[in-house]
Amino acid sequence: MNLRNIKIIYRKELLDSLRDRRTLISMVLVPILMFPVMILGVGIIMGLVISKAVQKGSKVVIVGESFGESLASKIQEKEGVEVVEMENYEIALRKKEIQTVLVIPKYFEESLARADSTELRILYDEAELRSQMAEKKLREVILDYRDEVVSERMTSRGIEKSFLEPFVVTSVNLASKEKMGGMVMGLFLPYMVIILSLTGAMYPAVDMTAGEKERGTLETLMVSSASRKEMVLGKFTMVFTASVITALLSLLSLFATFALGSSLTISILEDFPFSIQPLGFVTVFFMMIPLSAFFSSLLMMISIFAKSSKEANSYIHPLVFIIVLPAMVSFLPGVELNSLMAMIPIVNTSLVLKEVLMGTYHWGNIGLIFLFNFLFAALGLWGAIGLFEKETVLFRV
Amino acid sequence: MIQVKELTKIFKDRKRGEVRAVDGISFECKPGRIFGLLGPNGAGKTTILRILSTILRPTSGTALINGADVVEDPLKARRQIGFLSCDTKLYGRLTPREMVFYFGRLYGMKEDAIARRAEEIFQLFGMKDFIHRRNDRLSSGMQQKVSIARTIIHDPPVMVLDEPTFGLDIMASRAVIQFIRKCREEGKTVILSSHVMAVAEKLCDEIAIIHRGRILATGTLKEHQERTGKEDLEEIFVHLVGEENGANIGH
Repeated sequence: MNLRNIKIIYRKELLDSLRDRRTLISMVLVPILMFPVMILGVGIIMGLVISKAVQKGSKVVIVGESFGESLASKIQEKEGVEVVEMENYEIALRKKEIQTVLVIPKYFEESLARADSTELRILYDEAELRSQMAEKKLREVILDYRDEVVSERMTSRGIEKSFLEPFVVTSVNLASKEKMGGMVMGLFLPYMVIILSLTGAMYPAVDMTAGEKERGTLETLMVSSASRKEMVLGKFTMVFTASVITALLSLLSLFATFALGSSLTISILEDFPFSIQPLGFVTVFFMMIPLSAFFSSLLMMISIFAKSSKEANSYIHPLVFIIVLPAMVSFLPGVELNSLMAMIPIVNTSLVLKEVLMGTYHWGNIGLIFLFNFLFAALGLWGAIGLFEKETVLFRV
Repeated sequence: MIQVKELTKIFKDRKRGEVRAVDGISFECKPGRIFGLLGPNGAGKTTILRILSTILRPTSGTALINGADVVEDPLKARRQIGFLSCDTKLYGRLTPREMVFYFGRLYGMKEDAIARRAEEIFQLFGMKDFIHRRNDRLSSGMQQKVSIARTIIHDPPVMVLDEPTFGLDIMASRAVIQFIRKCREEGKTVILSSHVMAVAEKLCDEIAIIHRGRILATGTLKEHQERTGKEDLEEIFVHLVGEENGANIGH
């Protein structure tokens, strides 16, 4: 094996890829734009929808207004609530003409006066954002009114407020700001970065192997005096580079998005306790390196076997589904990293990234996962070289 | 110098079972001469040339390229060979200059040696105007010149050419024919395959007629004519195939 040849092939593939628009899109553009578009875009749209709903206010029909006039007047005073009269209120609610209906039972105030208990009913449509908000407002007014009634009854009977509330419960959250931020991040960041590092490697892997078979340049390369092993290693290094660059750019873009998002205080990011230590960032990136190598070798194996890019892609699509599932393990609460989990590729990375983002560093596990993933990558690479040396694979008909 | 010894290549095909694409072939090509493999499509020409260029491994037998065994030391054999076929395409996103340098480097040449040799080749084939344009934006004639330049950057003593003029327009095919003659003048060993009789007639010093993986006859055009009593290669070919079939029936 000649290192010089591997370097020559790597440099040529790098040059070739940098001139290819599709590689640039999947390696640079997608990871940079993915998070801002997704997070800020969704945030902005949600913000717009909510503020529009708030502006429009909500229309309420009060049935049996005469039985609870003091409550009805309190509702009328509430900001953003408009009391309207309507006969077929249920149909109107379904048609979204009104947002909620309050049903006051007969002799409501009389039963209050008797200190009885009775029922108020709110009709609303849980599937409608405006109806949901109106129900919440209505409930607020009613609960305030209930507290008023309760304290009136207590004063009239000479009972202290502490009689009903013998003590208050206060929970103090001791989790650091990093851990809180990390928890939210830890849920979905591992998944996102893992999938992006896979997609970043996908296009170059297919283009450099199956694509070359298709375009007839592989045979040209095979008559050069580089060995088959050197060819695979040179090409693998390029695929690996693309994957690592994609992972790095997506991480940078994600952190930039959160920084920008919290400064813009977009509704879903409001008071988002975001702060990740540089150590966390570096460790996450560091852990992505062996996984990228594993993905690159896996994709190389598949696309060396395929006759054409089209065939390679049809093998890779099911692979993506197979990889998505273990990558999503970070979403599952309660799945903890242990030495068994550390040996399962993808699952181990997803879990260790989650831990690191929450500020927990089990250096033993981190080292173990790092080594194990490189071991899997080496196996994949060995398989890719084996396939590339088989003429029945290279000249499949 | 190419020495082919008892070369056999068997492909396993799911439908047809074992296919003997090359069946115990032996021949020799000498420096300063053009050796032609002539035969219809599927006769085994491409397989022979692919074995010579070490892209495929023979099932049994071997070949020596200037003494280097294609089975024992394929890397050494490859360095002796310039291989050109219609399946050896160019990298579309590279320029001719980058393409030629890439292969020069892979053949282990030093940068200044590549630069000198490339300059010579670009001059010779009149390529100066387009060496900085992308390969996929060149005409087919220009592309063929780039392919030739790629083939000879390491100045190989042996040229292996698979259907070198197939699918080329007049200008491109003229350039190739001139190039092949020049190789002979320089004392290189040239082996080429063709299914076009005219090409073989025009170029080859020695012609092997191949049918179903076997050589039916080897010799100069004149020897073939004398042996069969036929004038042109097409008739000679038909005559030899008929003889072979007759012999088979006779057995």
